[in-house]
Amino acid sequence: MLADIEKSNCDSSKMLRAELGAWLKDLRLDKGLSQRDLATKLELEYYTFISQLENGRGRIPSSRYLDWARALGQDPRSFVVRLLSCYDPVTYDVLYGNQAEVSVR
Amino acid sequence: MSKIIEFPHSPQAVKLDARQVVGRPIYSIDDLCDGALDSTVPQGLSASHQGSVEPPLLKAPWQPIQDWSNQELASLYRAQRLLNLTGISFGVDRGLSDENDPWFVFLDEADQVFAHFCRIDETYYLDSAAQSGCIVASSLEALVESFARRNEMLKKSAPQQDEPSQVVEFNSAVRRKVLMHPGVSLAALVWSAYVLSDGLVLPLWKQSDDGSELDSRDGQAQNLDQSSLLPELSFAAHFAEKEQSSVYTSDILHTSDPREAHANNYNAVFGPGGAYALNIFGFGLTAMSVSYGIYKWALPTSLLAPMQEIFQTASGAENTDVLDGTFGDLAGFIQGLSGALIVINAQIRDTVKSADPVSSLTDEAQGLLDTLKTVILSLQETARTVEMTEIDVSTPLIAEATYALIDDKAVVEEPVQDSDGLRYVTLSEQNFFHKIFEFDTIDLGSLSLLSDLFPSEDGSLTEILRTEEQVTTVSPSVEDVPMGKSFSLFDESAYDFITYLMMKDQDPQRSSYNNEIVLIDMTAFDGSGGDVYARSWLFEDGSVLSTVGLKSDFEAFGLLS
Repeated sequence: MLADIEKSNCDSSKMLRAELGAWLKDLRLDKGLSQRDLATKLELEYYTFISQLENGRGRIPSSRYLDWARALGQDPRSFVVRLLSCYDPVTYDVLYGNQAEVSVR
Repeated sequence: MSKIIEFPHSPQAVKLDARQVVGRPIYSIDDLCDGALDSTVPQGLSASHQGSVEPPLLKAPWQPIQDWSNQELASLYRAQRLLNLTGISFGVDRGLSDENDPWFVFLDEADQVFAHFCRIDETYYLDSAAQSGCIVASSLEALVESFARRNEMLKKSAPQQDEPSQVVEFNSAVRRKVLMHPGVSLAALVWSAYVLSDGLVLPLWKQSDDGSELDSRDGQAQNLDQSSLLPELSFAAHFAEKEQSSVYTSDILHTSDPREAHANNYNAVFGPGGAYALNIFGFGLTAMSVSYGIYKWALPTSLLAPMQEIFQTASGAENTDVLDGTFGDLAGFIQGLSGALIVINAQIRDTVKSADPVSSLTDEAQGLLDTLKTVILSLQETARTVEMTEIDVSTPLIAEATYALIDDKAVVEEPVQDSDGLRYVTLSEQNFFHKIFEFDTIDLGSLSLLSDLFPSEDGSLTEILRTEEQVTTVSPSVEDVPMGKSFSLFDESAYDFITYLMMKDQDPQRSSYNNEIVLIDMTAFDGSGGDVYARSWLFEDGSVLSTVGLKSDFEAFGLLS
């Protein structure tokens, strides 16, 4: 999994990651899934990766964005935009600005 | 009072509990041996590291043990500390899943996770950016071997033509004989994962089909981020600058005493301000990785010259040419490094003898010693692998250095060789590693050192040592045990104290000697002051638990004699 993660050129904000982790956790709990359940849906080799993400560490590999959106019952576009806002806030601001932030949150 | 204890090694975490039998609790040493060390901190318990103690609140039901054990955490954090000695800032984080399975991640300087350790259902996993899939093993230590084994499999399955043309396989996992602390092996593993995942694909050397060694210095190192390994390469320039600035005078540098010369060379190269004070650790971690078979030794063209300078300086040899594929004077280099090792050992011993706290031995000094030792052993192994028969595998200097730290009077064991001519690490050398690696495991012999450094007022520690010398190998029943004045039966107050000790010090030192277990609260030796005290308890089966810690802690629990 980790090998799929692209190297980020920008400084990642711990706060953003933590917020995103909490958001992912809320989505999972709303679906009534345990971390292991979600990992099973995503066919992850080890479910503690879910815990790691929910604790604001690491990132979802971009190749798995859609899988995650489906597993959490989210609209793929909104889901990815939300990820982008935390993983790459600079790009997010350039592409969407404040309006997009309002619309997806 | 007996010093005899049976310490069964239960493979499973055991709850520390007290069973009420005939009016008073009976405690099992097995519980203390495993369960206590792996326990989670009960809610409501807090402790100060300054010696003041709050009453233990240990009556709450014990929680299931699922987090990393103290020993595992110690290894993981030790790995981080060793990694950071390279000058690269490695971060870590850890947590528990919603099922309380533990995970532990290593972060690079950009705060990106590059290695994820976890334990799920008693199985240990490692995922890293250098892998295409998880490594699974039965323990953290076993992950190292699994990683090495996986590398071997990948190497065998990989098309030969895709490999760099010049590779020398210095070692393989199956031939490894060097024993290291788990934290060191983990550091080597994580370092390899970091290097391999960060695009630091080093050129490799390999023997050609006809057995001759091919030279790799033809520009295969374009992927190497040299700044992360050896950012300051001009050793010669640095050395010359120091010489001109009279930091090192020529007469000091060119002494006729080999050991003094080694010391001067060491200071110039590895000492404070030395050109390689920082980078040698990366070199050492790579050497460790090589020794574990999880990494193939390789150096890019740009690093050959400066490394050559280091080797020549350390060895004092004029024609040291260990990296040109012919290993012209590897023996000289090993001898040189061994000399440096002796000097460092002597310095450490002098420090100890001057009654400075053990903690005054800085991480840097210990790390350097670790590194040098590893480099030497790795190179020795290398020499054997490439059939450098002129290398004396029982290099006297190494043996001398090894025993210098342990005991002046120690008898040097004859190295043992197997049928392949490989030399096994002797028991004394294993002890050497144990002592070097931050006293992680201490036998009672080491307590003589602690006793000298921190004499207890009432002689309890001395008594432990004296009793230890009188111990026999027979385990008598409790009725047969003479009850010494300092030994009382392990009771509830002792149980509370031991449990408190386990939770106060997240990395308590535990050692077993014959049938006795000794727990040492290392926070008593962190330089914050406070008298050190020791006490032992007897169990129903005649076994003994001894503890060494702050006297104030013992006092808080009413355990002073």
